[in-house]
Amino acid sequence: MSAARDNRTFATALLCLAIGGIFVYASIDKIINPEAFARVIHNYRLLPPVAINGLAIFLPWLELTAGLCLMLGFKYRSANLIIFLMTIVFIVALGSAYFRGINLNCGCFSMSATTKSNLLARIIEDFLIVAGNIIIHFNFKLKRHK
Amino acid sequence: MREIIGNALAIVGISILLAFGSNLVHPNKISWVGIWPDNRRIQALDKPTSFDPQTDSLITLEEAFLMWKDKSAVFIDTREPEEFAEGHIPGAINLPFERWNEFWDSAKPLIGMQDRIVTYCGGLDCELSLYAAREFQSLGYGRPLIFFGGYVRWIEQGLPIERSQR
Repeated sequence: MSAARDNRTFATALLCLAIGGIFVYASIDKIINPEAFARVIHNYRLLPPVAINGLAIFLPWLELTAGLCLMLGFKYRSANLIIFLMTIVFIVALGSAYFRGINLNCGCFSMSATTKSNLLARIIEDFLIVAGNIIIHFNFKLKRHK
Repeated sequence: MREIIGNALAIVGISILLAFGSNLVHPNKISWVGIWPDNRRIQALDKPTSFDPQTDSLITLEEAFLMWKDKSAVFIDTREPEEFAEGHIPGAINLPFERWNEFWDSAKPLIGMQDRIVTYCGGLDCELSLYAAREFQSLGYGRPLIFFGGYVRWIEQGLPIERSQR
């Protein structure tokens, strides 16, 4: 753990803290309200019925665990990979909803039914997170090769 | 890279354990496999031939399902008692439109004037749900919602049904 933490530059550690923090924050409401999150997933119209509840239970815990690991610098490259892959999936799901004209609460941070997210803004945010993931990954490599 | 992937799989495994454990004790826990209609293909709104937008409000299977799940509407099954007994949307009240007077007295106490009402019948070739909705309006109830897809659409999706209760 300490070796991995030592390899991070200050900027990388800060980025890890920010992106990890976003995922930890985003997981809380979903963990508290699994039923509401299942409804959000259902509304994306992407998954077969059998997969919806399982994903609604599991995904927030993956966000929380990976987010915490990234924040704390524990196996942070692995956590960064998970968050990168999750964010790519979110971009595909949001993009699919955007192009099909589905009006939904994205379920990104809040399960509140009154929250109507601007899908395009959420997609741009997710691209920024992906950029952050890439910086975290390559920053480490650049430092290691010095 | 192999180490990164290995550790990532470990994080996934820990997350599965946490999810499983938390869902055992969660006050709002849900079952791992839920009951949902398959909405991956956009469903067309089924429309009766005598539909009149001035008086009739139609809803899709999806909307009907969510109201049923939330228990936010009273479902009125307008088919004959024999069909109702064979299977109906759980919790629905049987009020056959063609025998309205006979059934109204027993159904009336179960339907509040302020309740949101959803009427349905056999679906697609049956317009009794439409006529029942108009009848409710003439009796002073709020504008009922007509689930014209009805029982046919409901069972097509493998959604829960109830048998032999009025």
